[in-house]
Parts: sequence; structure tokens; C-alpha cells
Amino acid sequence: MDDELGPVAASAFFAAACKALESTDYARVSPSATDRVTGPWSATFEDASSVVGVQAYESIDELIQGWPTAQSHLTDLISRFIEPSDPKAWDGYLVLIAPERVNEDQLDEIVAIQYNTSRVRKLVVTGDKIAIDQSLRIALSPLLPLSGVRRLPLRNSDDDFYADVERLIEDDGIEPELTRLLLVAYRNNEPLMSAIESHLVSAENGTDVPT
Amino acid sequence: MAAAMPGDQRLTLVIGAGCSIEHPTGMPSGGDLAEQAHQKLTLTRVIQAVANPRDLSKVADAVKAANHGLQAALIDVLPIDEMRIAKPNSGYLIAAAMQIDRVVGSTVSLNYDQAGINAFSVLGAGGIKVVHGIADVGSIRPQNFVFLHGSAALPGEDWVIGTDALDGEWISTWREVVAQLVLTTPVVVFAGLGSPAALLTSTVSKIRAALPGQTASYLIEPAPGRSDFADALALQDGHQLTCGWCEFMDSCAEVLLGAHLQNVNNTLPVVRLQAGTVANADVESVFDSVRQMGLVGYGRLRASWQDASRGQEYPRHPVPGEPGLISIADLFQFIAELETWSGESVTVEDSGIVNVPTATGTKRVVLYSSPAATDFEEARTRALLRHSSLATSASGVIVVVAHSNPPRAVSPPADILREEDESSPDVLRGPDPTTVLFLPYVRDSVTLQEKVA
Repeated sequence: MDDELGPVAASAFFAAACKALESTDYARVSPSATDRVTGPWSATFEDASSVVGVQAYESIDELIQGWPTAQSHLTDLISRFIEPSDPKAWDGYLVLIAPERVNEDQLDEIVAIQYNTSRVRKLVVTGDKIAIDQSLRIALSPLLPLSGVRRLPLRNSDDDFYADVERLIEDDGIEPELTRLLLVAYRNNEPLMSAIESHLVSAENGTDVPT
Repeated sequence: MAAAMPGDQRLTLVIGAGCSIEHPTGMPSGGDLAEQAHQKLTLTRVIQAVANPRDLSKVADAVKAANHGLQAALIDVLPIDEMRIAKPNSGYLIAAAMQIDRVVGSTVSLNYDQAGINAFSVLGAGGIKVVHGIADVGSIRPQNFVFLHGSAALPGEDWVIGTDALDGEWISTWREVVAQLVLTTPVVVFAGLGSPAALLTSTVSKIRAALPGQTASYLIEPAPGRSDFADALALQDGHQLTCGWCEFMDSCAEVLLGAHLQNVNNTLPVVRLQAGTVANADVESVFDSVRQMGLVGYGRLRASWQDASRGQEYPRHPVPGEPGLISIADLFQFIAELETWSGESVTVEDSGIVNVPTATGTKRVVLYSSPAATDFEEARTRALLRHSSLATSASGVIVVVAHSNPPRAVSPPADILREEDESSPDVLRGPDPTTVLFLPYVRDSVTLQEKVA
């Protein structure tokens, strides 16, 4: 293990994971909701459809030894507030973090934890200072909104929706006329490539494309 | 043999090359090793033939005389790699098990091979301080494995191998200090030693003079007749035992195992009182199964019953007064109850599987004791991890969890990939989920008793 990592790194990456979840629709569950504590770097989050436990450890060995305790904690919490018949009971996640590289001896056990499907899904985040940042993003991706996608407000009609889409694409610098033609072709169930070809030919000849 | 009883490290083992001959360690004897080295060294003209080519110290003297006091040429022709990875024979495994059980305090090895410490790796045990040289002496513990003459892990020039080093250079060095420290136990057993080692005989004499009547030395010697070493140690009559290393350690293991089982037996009334168990279970037949697996097998069985931390797979046997002894006795009682409920003799494997014969076949039951778990749910998870390899066959297994809090209702599914009511296994999802039961509930429920037996 890199001696410079350990407690500081564990707390830093725990904080990063919590911040990533709190930046979305997840809300942190008050510690008073649970009567059990599994260490200083432990937190629970909830949104409309899922419950997420986050637990950070100083080392991979501690993670391997300790995750059943963390899972038991999360399972107990879910069981006290959510009925087995509620779909949310099936949507539990346990994020396990250790700021250390996995060595060969530990690899099988880490993979086994990731593939362990008892009670809740396990997301394991490990690595050194550089790798763990990326690892954190990848591991939390099932819980976070897709990056680079702007959310559209709900619309009452298709026309409103396509108007929004046209505006969004225009914001990205695509030629407005081409966007309009493509959307018309799409709504008429016509080939998109033919629409692009017609647009290019018209532009070359200086003529208008019939809509 | 009285020294092989559970106690407070009353025994020190001093082992020599003779201990590493027996299968599967298979190292050459000291004489053979010297003769092989002598042959190579004379063929390559490194040295002239010596008067006694079967004495390694004399061969070393010749090499040093011909090489400006350096002995590397001798080390180069010794089987260093084989010495490093030497596989422990049953004697070494038992010695390690006795050290883990704190019957043996320290083991002093005069060998360069590492079979003795490799035994701890084979068992999956830690907690022993290995002393290769002076750098390790500062952190010496009550339990040590001391390479008094160096080991194959050290550079060749650090080996104690020439006559000067063996006969006198050790005086007032760390070797003398450590020898005095670890040999001051009520009983010292010497095994596998060919010729008297001055450091040992001198140290034993000093300790005996300082503590008259409080220490006893024994010599294990395969050949009949009083040996030179016995004379050098001034052994009392009857203190030289004629048997091989593994044979002697087997006898020690039998005595220690018997003592452990006696302690378990003495604890059963407490278990029955606590559990309210009234089943007229015959624990003696379970003891017989354990006796057949031997001391090391019993240690592996205990390991299967608990969640060991990494590098500590082989657990020390608890002694009277420790709560762990009650937990172990409880599991013995339960296995005996399985036999009562099934009406058939069960068999216990050191992997932890209890085979329970039934009218329709054999049920496989494994026990898991988890007093450290925060609740049954955690104990259940750890038990399933511990026995995950058993659940890979279609016949499945029943895990019985003991010594945790009682189970509570749980909302998340047992497996997020499987509906709770799915019963038939398939290739994609794997075999049926393992059944996990709470031991006290089994004792209280005829339905659950029928499930396990």
C-alpha cells in the first residue's frame, strides 16, 4: 500500500462519493434513522426508487473483511422502513471504497464481491490517487444521470417536444435548416440519409428543398 | 508426553537435519548433504578432498581455507531453492499446530531449510516471530521460530556452518542470548540432531545449573543405543526416546488432541444447561470422527466453523475458561443431535461438512459460528462466503449458523437476480440458494430438524 494514502484518502474519496450522489436527486439519510454505525466513513442515501449505502475503508483487506457488516447495516435499515413487496426493496446499492490498488491475491475476492448478488448490488471502488477518481465515476455511473445529456421538461404535445429538440440541436451549432429537415423526415418515417442528401444537393444548386 | 498438554508454552523444540528427511520434505541428511557438496567441490577443484567428507563443517572449513575465509562456494553447491520451498512433513505440521495451540513456546532450528516455517503457511497461521538473524532479535515474542545457524533466506556468508562458528564464535553473540531465552522452559525436546552442537549443550548445561530440578531435556533418536548427543547433554536415563521425528510428533498430537476433546467434553454440561438441550446425544461418536482426522485435521475443522481473518486460517484451540470453548462444545453437541434426529451415524469431514444419511440420500450440513457478527444477517452473509465453494454443486448444502443474534425479517431479496419462489436451478442462475438456518431454532423445531436430518 502507498503509505501516503490511508485515512486521508479514504475520507477524501468517501466525501467525493457523497458529493456526487448529493449533486443529483439523492438525499442523505439522517444518521438518527439508524442505530448502528459501521465506522467514520459510512452514509446512506435515498431517492425515489433506490437506497444507497456508501462505506469507505483504509485498505482493500479491510474492505474484504468488512463489507458483510456494511451490507448487514444497509439491509437492516431498508428492512425497517420498506416492505419486502415494495420494488425499492430490490433496488439497494452498496458502494464500497478503498483507496488502494488491488493486488493479485485480493483480485478474486474483489471480483467475487462485485458479482455477489445477495440482498443488494455491490459497487466496488478501488485504486490509487489517480485511478480512484475515474474508478469512482465508473462505479457510481449506475446511480448517476447520464453525463452530457440535458434533461427536457415534460411536454403536452409532440410538436412542443420536437420544437425543444430542434432548439437543443441548434444550440450545439448544427445548421437549423438541416435540423428541421431531419426532424420532418424522422416524423414521416422517411430515410434520414435521403434528407441530408437532398439538403446538400439543394445547397449546391442554390434551390429550396421541398418539405 | 505430559508436556504436550495444553498449557503455557512449557515446551521448546530443538530440531535438526534429521527432521527434514521424512516425506514429503525429503531433504538429504546432514552427512549426505556434506558428501554431495564435497563431491562437487572436489570435482571442480575448489577444494582438496577432506578427511571426513560427511561432516559439513569440515567441508566448510576447507572451502573457507581455499577462498580467503569466504564460504560462498560451498553455499553455491547446496540445494538452496529446495531448502527454501521445502514442503513440511507431518511432524512439522504438528509442531506448528502445537505452537499455535501454545503448547510449544519456541522452535529452534539448526536447519537451513525452511520446512518448519513453511508449515505455518500450509496451515494458514500467523502470529509466530521468525528469527533468521540478529535483525529479527529485537522483536522477539513469547512464540518464535529461531534459525540458530541461519537459513536459506540469508546470504551464504551469514550461515553458521564452519567449525569455528559452531564451536565458539557464538559466545556472547545474539545466538547465545536467544538460546538462553528460548531454552529456559520446563521441557526441551531435541530431535533430528546428528552431532552435539556446542551452543546447545553449553546453554542447556548453564540453564540446568541455574535452575536445578526445574527443567528436563529429552532426545528423540531413531537409532537405538545412547547417542553422543545424549552424553553431551548429560541426559538422565530414559530421556532418550527411540523413534522417528514424525512418529514422535504423532504421539504428541494424539495426547494434545485427547486433552482438547476432554476439555470440550467437560464443557458440554454448560452447553446443555444454556441451550436447554435434552436430546440424548452421544458426543463420543463425534469425538471418534475427530480423532480420525487428527490434531491438524481438527484445527482445519475448527477453521471451517469460524470466519478467520486473512493469514489466520488456523485457529488456536481455546482452553477452559475461554468463551470459545463453550462455542466449540455447542457445535459438537449439535452434530451429536443431528445423529439423534437422523437415527444414523453422521460423518464429519475436516472441510466442515457433516454428512447426514437419510432415507433419500445424504444431506450435507455445515456449521458456522459467528459470535463477532453484529446480527444474524451478517453471520449469514459470512457463512455463505465461507462455504461458497460447497454451494456450487447441484445437491446444495444446509448452513447452520450458531452464536449470533436471532434472525429478523429482511426486506431486500436473498438474491437480486432470483425471485424468492424460484425453486429449480438452472445453468445461468446456478444451483439452488443455500439454505441457512439458525441453530437454536433447529433445536426448537421438529420441522427444521427434519430439514437437516
